[in-house]
Amino acid sequence: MNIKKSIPVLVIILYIALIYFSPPKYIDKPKFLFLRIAKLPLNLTHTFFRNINYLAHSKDMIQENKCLHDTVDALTLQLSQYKEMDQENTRLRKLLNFQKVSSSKLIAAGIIAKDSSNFSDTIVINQGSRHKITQDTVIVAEAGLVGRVYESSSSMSRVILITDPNSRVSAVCSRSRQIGVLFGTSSNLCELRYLPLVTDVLVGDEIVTSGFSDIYPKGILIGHVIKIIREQRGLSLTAIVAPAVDFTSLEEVLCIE
Amino acid sequence: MYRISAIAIILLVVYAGLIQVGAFNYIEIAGIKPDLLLLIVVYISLACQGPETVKAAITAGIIKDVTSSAVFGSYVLSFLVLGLLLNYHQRRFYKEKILARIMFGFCSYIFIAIFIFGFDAIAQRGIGSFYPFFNVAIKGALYTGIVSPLVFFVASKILRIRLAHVI
Repeated sequence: MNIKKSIPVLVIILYIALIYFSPPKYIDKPKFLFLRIAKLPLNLTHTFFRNINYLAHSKDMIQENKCLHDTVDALTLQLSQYKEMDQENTRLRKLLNFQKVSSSKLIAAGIIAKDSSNFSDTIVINQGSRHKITQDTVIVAEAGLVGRVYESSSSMSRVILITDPNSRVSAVCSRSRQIGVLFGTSSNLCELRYLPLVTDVLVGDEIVTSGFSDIYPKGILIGHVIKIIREQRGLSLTAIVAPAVDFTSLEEVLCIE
Repeated sequence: MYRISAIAIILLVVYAGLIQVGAFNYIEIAGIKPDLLLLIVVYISLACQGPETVKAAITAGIIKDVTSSAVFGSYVLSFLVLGLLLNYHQRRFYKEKILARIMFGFCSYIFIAIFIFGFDAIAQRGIGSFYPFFNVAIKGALYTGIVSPLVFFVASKILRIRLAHVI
């Protein structure tokens, strides 16, 4: 037997044994070491290509900026009404002896790198355990749910997006209150599975987190239904959901502490 | 076959890695992007000798491992196996035709996908289903295959190598 030729096979067998018998957090420890070294070039590259993209879309951005200014004006007015309602809510809750709803603290984070592979949808953010970002911290953007922290080091964290094939989120249709499980598909869409066959979910319905989870708080917008799939002989329906967050242009996120 | 300095290879792979992480996010189609690092490893495996292939595969593998959520080491190992396989059998496989280049990109992507899914399943990361494999791997392989002639052309200009002279 040729020993030289059998070395690659031996290496593969050893590696398989290593990843099978050791917990993932130990195998992945060197990743953050390399990421720490690569942080600066990754950050610079990300900023460079982002700025090029901004320049290419500068005309659209001027128009968008105008629209956003109008929206901000309208929302400011709405916000003052909501503040009034919030105060009223607090008063009424006190009156009825209701438990206080916990208000979470938000921590802003920038994206250092996006996933280079098609098989997973993750991002690396510049906040870690030093900033109280730990595993399963929920990540949101202005538009809605982004995902949760998968692993974190002292100054960086890897976030698994809701479009990742390993992501599962308990979700509910905000109009009909039908509950399903949201699966990532590694494309820019998600699937809301296990909806009852006689369901009242329609195209355009808003999907939000259900709160039936230790991780995701209730009521965070996930996206909108764009298609409903009824399989022959299937026991449940599947709704295709377009996430509210545009992951391709995502630059900053908020971590719910 | 060509001999290229280790620094040149590492620089080329790191440069490709930065483009992969930065620019390729803007050419995604339905969440799928081509794998530039894989194509660079394939090109170096076809054009250069074993030591160059090993250097390119390890550098590209580390970059992929660090910038993805795959089990650490799985890309290094799969790139090494693919690179050495191509390097040993380059004369048998390769034809100087655009279609051959596309097929190389396509098949290499599928080869790597099988490895990554296999390692993830062994490490019990919960992929466990063939849905993402068919949903992502085939589309990714097609996209990678389509861009491979262009990437091979640019790489040959940078490294001043012609595969036709090599094989």
